[in-house]
Amino acid sequence: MKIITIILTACILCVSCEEIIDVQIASSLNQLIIEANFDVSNNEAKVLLSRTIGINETNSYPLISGANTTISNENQGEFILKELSSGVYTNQEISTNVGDKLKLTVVSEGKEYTSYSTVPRFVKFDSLIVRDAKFSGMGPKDQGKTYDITVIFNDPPSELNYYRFIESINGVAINNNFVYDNTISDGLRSEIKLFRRKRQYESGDTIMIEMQCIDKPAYEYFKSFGETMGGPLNSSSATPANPKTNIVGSTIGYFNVHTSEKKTVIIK
Amino acid sequence: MRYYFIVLSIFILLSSTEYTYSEEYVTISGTISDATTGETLIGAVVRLKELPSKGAIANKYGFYSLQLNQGEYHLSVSYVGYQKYEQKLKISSKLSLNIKLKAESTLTGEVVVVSERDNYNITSTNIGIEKISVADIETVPILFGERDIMRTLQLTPGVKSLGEGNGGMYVRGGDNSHNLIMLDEAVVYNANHLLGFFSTFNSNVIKDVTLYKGTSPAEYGGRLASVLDIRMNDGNNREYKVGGGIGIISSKLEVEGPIVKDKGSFLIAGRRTYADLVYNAIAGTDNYLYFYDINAKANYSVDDYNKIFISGYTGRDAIGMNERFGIDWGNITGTLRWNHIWSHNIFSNTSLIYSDYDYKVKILNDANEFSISSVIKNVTLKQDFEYFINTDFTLKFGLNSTYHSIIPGQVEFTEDVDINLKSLENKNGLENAIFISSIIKPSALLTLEAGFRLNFFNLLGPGIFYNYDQSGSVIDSSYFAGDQNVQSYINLEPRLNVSYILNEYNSLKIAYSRNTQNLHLISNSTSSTPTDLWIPSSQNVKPEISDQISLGYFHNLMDNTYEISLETYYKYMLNQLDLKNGAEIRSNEYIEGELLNGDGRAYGLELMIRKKFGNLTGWLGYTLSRTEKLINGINSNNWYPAKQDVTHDISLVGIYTLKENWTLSATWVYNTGNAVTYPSAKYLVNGNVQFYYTERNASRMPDYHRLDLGATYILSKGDSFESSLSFSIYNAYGRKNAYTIEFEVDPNDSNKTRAVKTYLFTFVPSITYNFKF
Repeated sequence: MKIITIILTACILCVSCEEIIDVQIASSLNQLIIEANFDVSNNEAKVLLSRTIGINETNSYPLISGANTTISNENQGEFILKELSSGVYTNQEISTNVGDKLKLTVVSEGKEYTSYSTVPRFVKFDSLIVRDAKFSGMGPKDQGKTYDITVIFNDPPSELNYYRFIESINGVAINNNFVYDNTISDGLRSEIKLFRRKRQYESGDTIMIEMQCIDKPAYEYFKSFGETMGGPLNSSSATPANPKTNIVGSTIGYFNVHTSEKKTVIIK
Repeated sequence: MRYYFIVLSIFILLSSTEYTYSEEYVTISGTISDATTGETLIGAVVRLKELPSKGAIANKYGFYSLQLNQGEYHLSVSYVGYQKYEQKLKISSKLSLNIKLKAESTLTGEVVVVSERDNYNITSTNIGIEKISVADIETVPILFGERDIMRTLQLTPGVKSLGEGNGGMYVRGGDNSHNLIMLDEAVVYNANHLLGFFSTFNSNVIKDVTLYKGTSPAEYGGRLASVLDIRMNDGNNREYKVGGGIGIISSKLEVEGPIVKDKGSFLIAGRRTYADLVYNAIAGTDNYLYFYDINAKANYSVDDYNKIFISGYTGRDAIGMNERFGIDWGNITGTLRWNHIWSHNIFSNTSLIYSDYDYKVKILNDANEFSISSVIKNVTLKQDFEYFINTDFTLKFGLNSTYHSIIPGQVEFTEDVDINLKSLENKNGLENAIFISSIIKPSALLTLEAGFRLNFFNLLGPGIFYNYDQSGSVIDSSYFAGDQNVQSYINLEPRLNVSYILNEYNSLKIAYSRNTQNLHLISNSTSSTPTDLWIPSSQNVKPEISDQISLGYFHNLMDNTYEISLETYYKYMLNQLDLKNGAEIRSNEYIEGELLNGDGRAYGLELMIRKKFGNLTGWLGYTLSRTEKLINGINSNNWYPAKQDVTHDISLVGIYTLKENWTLSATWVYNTGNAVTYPSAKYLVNGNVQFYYTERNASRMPDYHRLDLGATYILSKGDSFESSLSFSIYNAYGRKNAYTIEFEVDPNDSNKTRAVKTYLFTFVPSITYNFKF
């Protein structure tokens, strides 16, 4: 429903103007960012460690080397993730079963961070539909052609399931976290439109949608990620806040154990 | 039924004591009204030369009653803007005396009788009260030249707005939802048109506006921060009149007249905006954005002791784009009232009130359409008594019974639409209250207004009600049938105002009050949107409670020409609600599990210097204040500034009468920027730049200031035809006040981040033509 607020305000903004201003902000201390993904479908665990920088600094995010990073599985013991390149830690030998609770431990610069994520059941990504949108966006006289994306899958009955979809154009992920739960579609064939305003593609673009089955804490992270980042309406949208992390010891970052299935469409 | 019995017993008990006085005292009572239109004059002051410390104030229906010893008196009646009425009376038995006051006139050739410069502000127990006169509303310059009660009230100390596009009114640190806004006693849930640019009240048909920001009388309850009591005109009961105005974005028309001359009258008024037509014509779009509203009222005096009123309001806003999206919302209110006078000194009013607010959002998505609609409504029965026992003792008591129903979200869609929304269960509640309050004058210098309100709230079935654990997950649920009580709360709300008169020009006042609120507004945006969600108190949501203490010093200068007041307040609020990060409030049946709970506190100092008489009138208001919240789970459980925390707030209003047909006006406002959360760092996640937030509301928007200018030229004035032209300039020096400040990746250099300020209005001129015949 946030979109409604945006539209309402957009109506008013027809009479508005913009200007670039200087805002003095006291930067907070550097924080460690943990981006931990474990793709159980391809048996690939990857942890990225980086740091925050000041708002007015040029985008160059320091990667953190020399951390001890492990993932342990109750039944199988502990696996060390090796530092492949600066700040990137990987392991491809961790075997898992549906329902296993995995523990991530990162020790960096004397501080320990932990998180748990559960191996979700695999749900097949049935089909991907990319078509022209009739509802093309907001504001007076949109230019150009816009697209709708619909994903279809069958939700397994009698259990809580959480899904995440990632949209990439020519191999670059777009900043959107499409996450859904099955509270109202339990056990049903689900057709979900991945709603994004003014979705425009060029002819020849390769569109890839990745479907992930995820667990509840990861779902809550991605869901809050979408809703709390401030958006375009600082004074009238929700007070911006950090996403709901599932990592103990940090205020940002996530650990997501997920399945993966990708479908691709090339725009004519 | 028990409450009714209690109140009835009190009433019978009090009635039976009347004989004690009847031997020695006689009663003068009646109604005070305008001699030309017959409109009753709320708050007119009745005084006796022989008993300077005694007197009476006309109540909300213009009724007054005085208990006196037999004898001769010089009675006078005064009211701002009216000639003083004086009469010598010899009183030996009960007397009905209806008094008609003549409006002050400044027309050339007529004798100008200056209205009395009363010091009622010094002598009354009023503290923390703002009364806006209709004359002020008519002359204060406002955006698009649309006269507006709410925008004018926001120019007084302790009442804040958060700038353009935010219809909220924040009174002494309260939230927007903490205001009880009533039109002829009916609750108005959303007092805004067009997302806050205008209020729902058509100022042409408003008789009286009173804002209680401190201690409200015990007859009001249900909201924490303030009571805004708005009364509509009754309509001219002597002759037919048509009035109206034509402005750049809206026009309005009103018709009033007698039903039976001097006994009954009616009033009907409407207004409609047409800014979207202009905008579409210029921009070549087919969007729509408009509102209309209709006010209607009728009254009839059956005899000297019985009067019946019926009044209603309906208004609707609509916004939509190209048949893709549409939202419309509005309030409907209706009030049926019966005034009855029992034995000259007991005034009773019985009201049956209906109030409703609803919205409907429609989205056309490909060939599919879905809509969400939501309604909050109540039916209220109110019984109030005012018993004028003697000039030193007035008693008010009564009861109030309200049935609330909330339909939080009804979803309808065509087949095979893939929207993850479902309809929510309706919520019902019954709220009963009894109240008693008395005005006692133990001595000529001391006045006490003391009372209490006892409030009973019951959450009723039918429906499934959930219990939650600490983390907000559902533990269990239970089903309750339609007549079952799910949860009840009883709250006692004491109210006390004390005024001590130091001398004719100085007084000290102190007030304490407790207020409770059982309807809570859940919003994840900081501005008031039409899709706000209300929830009742429940097993998980406790009633909000506030305690406020205030202290005031009142001083008048130069024969009451200048009124100065200095008030301070401290308020503590319990059970304040906020949402968890990322909470979904739409179509979420587990919304109570998404709530966070905490406290709020607000304190401040308010200075008001008002000049009420002369060619130049107006006021200077200054507020120094702080408003903070402590919510479990936000800001590491530390106190943080609320969004409406504004340190300095200045309003300067000047109205100057130049010759007889020109009136000039100017307002200047300044306030510290409100509290916002800016990012304190940035980071990269999933390949995208994201912002990192630390402390809640630790930053400030830029300071806000603005000058508005207005001028009214009277084209013609007289009994047969009156007309005037009003000119105004909003934001005369074109200050680019920030509406939003957002951070984004610089499109010119993706390695940089920049801050973008959006501002709405610079320099908006307007012209309005008003007429009456």
